[in-house]
Amino acid sequence: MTDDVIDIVRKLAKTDYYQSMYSCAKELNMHIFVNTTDLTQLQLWLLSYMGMYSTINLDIAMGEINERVLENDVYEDAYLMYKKKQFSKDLKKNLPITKGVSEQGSPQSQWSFKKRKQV
Amino acid sequence: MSEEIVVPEVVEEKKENTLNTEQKKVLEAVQAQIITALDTTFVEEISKNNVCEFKYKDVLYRVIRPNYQQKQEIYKERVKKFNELLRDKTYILEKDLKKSYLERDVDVDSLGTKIRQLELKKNGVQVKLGELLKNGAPDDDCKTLKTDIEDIEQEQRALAIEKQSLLEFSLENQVLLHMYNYMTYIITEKKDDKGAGIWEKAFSSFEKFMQTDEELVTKLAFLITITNRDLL
Repeated sequence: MTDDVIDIVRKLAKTDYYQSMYSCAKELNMHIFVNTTDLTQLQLWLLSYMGMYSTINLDIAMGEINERVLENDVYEDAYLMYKKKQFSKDLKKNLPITKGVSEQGSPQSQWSFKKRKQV
Repeated sequence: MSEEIVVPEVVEEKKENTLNTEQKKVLEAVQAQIITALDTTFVEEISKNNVCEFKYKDVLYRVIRPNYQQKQEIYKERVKKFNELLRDKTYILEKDLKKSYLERDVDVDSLGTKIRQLELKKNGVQVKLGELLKNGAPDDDCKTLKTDIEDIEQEQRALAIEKQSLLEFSLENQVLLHMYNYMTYIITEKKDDKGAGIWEKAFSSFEKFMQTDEELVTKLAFLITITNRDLL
C-alpha cells in the first residue's frame, strides 16, 4: 500500500508543475503546502522526491547525464547512488592534510621522548 | 418473422464477442489508467494540507495532526498497553519469540542480516548502473543491471514479508497495532451537521471506534499510515 503511494508521489514530484513549484519555493520563498509547519509523512516524501528530481534535472541541464536517466525509477535511483559515491570519493581525495595533523584528523604530539643514555 | 428476430441477435452476439476480445486489453488499460488517475488526484489532494478531509456515507470526516496534548495521550496509552500486555502471559516479547523460533531452526535475525546484505549488493549494482548511464553505455547493458536490481529488490521484499509475518504476534507488534487504532480514534474528527457545523471528535469513545464499520476504519488507517506514521 505504501509502495503504491510512493510510486504516485514520485510521479507527482517528477511533473513540470511540482518541479516549478519546488524552484519557486526555493527562489521566491513561496509555499508549496497550505501548512508551513508540522508536515505530514506524505508531504515529507513529496518534498524529498521534488528535491531528488530537481537534482537530476539540473544535472541533465548541465550536460552531466543523458535524459535517458529519467526513463524509470531504477535508473534514477542508480544514478543518484553513483553520484553520492563519487561525491564522497572526491571529498576524501580533496581533503587537505594539514601539517601537524595526522591522516585521521587528530593533532600529532609536539613532544619527543628520548631514552636516557645509560652511563 | 421469427427469422428476422433470430438473425440480428446472432449477428449482435458475434459482433459483441469480437468487440470484447479486441477491446478487452484496451478497456483494462483504460480502467487501470482511470484508477491511477483517481489515486493520483486523491494523493495530490491530501498532500496539500496536513488536515485530510473526506466524505463517507454523507458525513464529512477529517484526519488531523495531533497537538502536544494528544501526543502525550497517545504516548500514555502506549505505555499503558505495553505494561498491560507484559503482565499477560499470552503475549511474548520479540526477543523471546525469536528464541522460540530458533529452537525450531528459524533464525529471524539472519533474515534481517540477509536483507542488509542484499541492500549492500543492490547499492553496488546501482553504482555500476549509474556509471554506465553517466558514460552513455548501450541500452542492453543498462537493462541487464536494471533486471539485477529488480531481482534483488524482489528478494528483499520477500524476506521482509517473511520477517514481518514471523514477528506478527510479538508483544511489541500488538502494541503498535493498538497504537494505530488509538491514534485513529484520537485524531479523527467529523463535522457536526447541526448548528454551525463545528468539527468534533468522530468517536465518543475508543470502544465506539472499535465498533465502527470496517470500510471507514480501512480508509482512516490508510490516511493515518501515509500522513502520521512518523509519530509511531
